[in-house]
Amino acid sequence: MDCKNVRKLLWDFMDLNPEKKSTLEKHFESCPHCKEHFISYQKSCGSIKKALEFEAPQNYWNDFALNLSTKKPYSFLSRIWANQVSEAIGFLRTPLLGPVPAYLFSALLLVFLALGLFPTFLSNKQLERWPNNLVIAENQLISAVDDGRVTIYSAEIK
Amino acid sequence: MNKDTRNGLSEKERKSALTSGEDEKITEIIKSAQKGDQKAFQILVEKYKAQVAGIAYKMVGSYEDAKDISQIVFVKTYQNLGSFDTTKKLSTWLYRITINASIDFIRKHKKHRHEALESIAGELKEKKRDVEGTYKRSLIQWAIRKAMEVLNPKQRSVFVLRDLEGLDIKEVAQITGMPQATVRWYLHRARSRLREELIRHYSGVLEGTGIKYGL
Repeated sequence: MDCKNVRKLLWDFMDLNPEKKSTLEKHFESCPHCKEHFISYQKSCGSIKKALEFEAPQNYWNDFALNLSTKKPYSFLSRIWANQVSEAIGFLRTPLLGPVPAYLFSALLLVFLALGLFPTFLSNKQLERWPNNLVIAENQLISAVDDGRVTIYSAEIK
Repeated sequence: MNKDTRNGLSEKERKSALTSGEDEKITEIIKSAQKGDQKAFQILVEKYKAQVAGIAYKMVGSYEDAKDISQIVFVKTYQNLGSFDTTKKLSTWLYRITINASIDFIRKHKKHRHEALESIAGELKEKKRDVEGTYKRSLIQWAIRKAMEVLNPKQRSVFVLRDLEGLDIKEVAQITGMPQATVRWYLHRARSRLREELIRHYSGVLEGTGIKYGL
């Protein structure tokens, strides 16, 4: 193995398989330059590891408080049971298309239905029967019932 | 005999487990904590808090943020302790939660991180009186932290666990949930990217610190 390939492998030295490690070590015996690089690399790794070491500052743990729930942590079985219940009532959360779109869809459907029925309801209200058998809609005389016979005056209903 | 009848663990047993660190005793403490014994859980917190904060610190680069993350980690651990399999290592599980919490933190606070070199130097000066050594260390710390910003969450996680924490590949694979070969690949990429970044932007800063990244 030449020096160029050896240096490519230097950074992964500690994770190399035994065969490759042995090849590199043999190369170091015959190449003092690569060996020097290897020692330098190991020192660098050590310095980096040391520089990033965790050394808790003074009083670091003083305000380390855990807000643990007072209830018991869920046991394995209760978690399974909770999952089954959750699945069983899942259809309530997702009536049609999924959580948010389904609710939105349902709400919009209700609104459109209400809007669709509103004119019918309104027109029924406007259509009044007068006591003297005259049928009036939107202030227009539509028909009149006289002795069982119906006379239609106008059929223009908007 | 001072025995806690609720969970069958005496105060003496709790203290001895903390100091001896024997696996069996730790398992007993975990089982007590799983039954809802908060004192038993506190023993676990005391035992692992420095390790958890250490990993979080290396991931996010700030002592205060590391403390916040540690608090989140232990609350999550407590809430999910019921599902923990006591035949497995608690530390592996804790480290996994720590890595995930740190990644979440980095994603949330990505836009607000403007750490000045002076703040790191000041942080170190509080602890060390060796001015030259402190200065060199703060330079290395600053440069590495800045360079680490180019690493994606997976690369950063494996670099922290393997190169900074010194865990073996198998354990890193268990913590990150990746196959060992994938861990090796991410490590290789992380080291290469760090090296490129240090050579490109921080070789001047690292001059005289003894760090030779541009081999």
